[in-house]
Amino acid sequence: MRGGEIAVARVARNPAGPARAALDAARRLRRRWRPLARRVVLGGLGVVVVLGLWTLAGMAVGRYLPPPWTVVANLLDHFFASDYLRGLGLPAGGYIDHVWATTGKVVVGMVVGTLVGGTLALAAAHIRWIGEAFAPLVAALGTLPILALAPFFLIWFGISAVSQIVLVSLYTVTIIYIYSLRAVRNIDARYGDYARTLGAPRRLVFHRVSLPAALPEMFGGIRIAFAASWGLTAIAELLGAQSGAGRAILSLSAVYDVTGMMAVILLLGIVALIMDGLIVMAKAWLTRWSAVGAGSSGGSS
Amino acid sequence: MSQGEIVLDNVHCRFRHVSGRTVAALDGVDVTVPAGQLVCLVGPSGHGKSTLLRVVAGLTPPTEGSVHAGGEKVTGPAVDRPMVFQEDTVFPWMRVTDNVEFGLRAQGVGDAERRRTVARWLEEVGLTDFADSWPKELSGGMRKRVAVATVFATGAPYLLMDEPFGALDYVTRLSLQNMLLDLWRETRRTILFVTHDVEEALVLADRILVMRSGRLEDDIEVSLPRPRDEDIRARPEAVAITKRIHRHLGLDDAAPVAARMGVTTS
Repeated sequence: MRGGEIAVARVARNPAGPARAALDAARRLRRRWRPLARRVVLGGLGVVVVLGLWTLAGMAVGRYLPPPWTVVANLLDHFFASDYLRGLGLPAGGYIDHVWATTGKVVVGMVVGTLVGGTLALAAAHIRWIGEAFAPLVAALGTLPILALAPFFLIWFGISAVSQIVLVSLYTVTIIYIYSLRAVRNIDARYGDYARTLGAPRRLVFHRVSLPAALPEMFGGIRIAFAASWGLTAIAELLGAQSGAGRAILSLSAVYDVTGMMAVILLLGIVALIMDGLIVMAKAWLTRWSAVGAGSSGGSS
Repeated sequence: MSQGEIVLDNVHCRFRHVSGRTVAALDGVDVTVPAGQLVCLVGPSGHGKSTLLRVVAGLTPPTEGSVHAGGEKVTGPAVDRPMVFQEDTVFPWMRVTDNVEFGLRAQGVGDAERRRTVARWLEEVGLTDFADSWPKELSGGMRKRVAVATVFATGAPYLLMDEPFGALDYVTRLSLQNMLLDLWRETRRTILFVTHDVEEALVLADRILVMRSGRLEDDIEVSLPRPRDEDIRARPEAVAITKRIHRHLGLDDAAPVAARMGVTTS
């Protein structure tokens, strides 16, 4: 607040004040926008180069590596509803319905996995025997190639969505458990001491101290599990599913429709990117108290 | 909460060092602190001041002896003995208001009363305008004000402070000392205040306990009038107290250089 007063005073004293202030403001604006502009230009350049290489490679390979615009056109053609896809034996609907089905499984699996994994980790951090009981189990699950379990789930749960959801949940539980446990153990013990001398019972320490303090690091686990879950679900769908991006790719590959397969992947990638953006936004909001990031300037006393 | 005395009876606290050696952080401490007294614990670092405070807080159990607060035996942390730490322990994920009301929430105090109490203590420490700020938006000194408001707001009869102002700059430290004295005069809580700063002890304390190697080396009554500005602290009796403490810390002129540097050979 005091900085504002000083700035006003300085403008008043300087005869060329307003003009200089305007110039300063312009300079500040440019300094703020330059990194963004740079990112957009360079990022765009990367995309253009890859699209160019893709097009060139497509010319060399021919029919089985269609150029980008053909893929986009195909995506738009069969976006909402498509007799062609129905003709391949897929359920009614376009690419979006299949990608949407996959998204649903990923989200449900993630939510279940995060809640279970996070709760178990917090419990393990607070109650010693729980942590000790889970340690070997988690170590085993963490090293196991989780996709190798997919055929078992197919036998137990059939080709329904449950198979893929269980797969994603199991993977997410493991990742979130490992990340959350580490996060809780990294919390400065003094926060817990302080809370206890203020008379906080264990329950209050748990959800007012441990949980918020662990949240920033837990989000790291959530993003990693989320990113991997798209692939896990799609591949599990390839092995057997009623609908979903993997199922659509399987049917399209049976007729060598590479363009269609790429369209599905493109759409899946776009949706995954949007979901990741939503998670980043959620993290930014939930950890807005954190000193890292924007608006962390200190005041004066 | 009713107020009584804090009684430490032959308190020992031994730790097993990594090397396998046993270290006595507290080595038979006997002391009684009457209700409403402001006691400063001074001594070199690593000589048991913080351990003593943690034992009274109930965070570290004594290996021998007992602590009673208001006639009740201390068996663990409780809201009648909140503590301000040297480190910044204000919860960064709570706004200033939520921080100050944390102890009240822990006691299950109702919404309306909680809000009233918090508003009062924010005003006492001069942070009313920052009620909705995040701790990251405050300076170190302001965050210490939040911690002080938090422990006072609990209504606890005994307040423990472990070098709370140690990491602050000179000016901020002085203003926080004055604030603490005002709050203490108003509320007459019993305060145990650890400091390594003899000057700070002289400004604050009714009584100064000098600690060395886990033992109470001296127990000094300070009856200087308050506020203890430079003139008061320059009085012969004040200088005598400073000298007496310095002698315990090995800081008097007769002591060898090594001891004056704070290196202990015992």
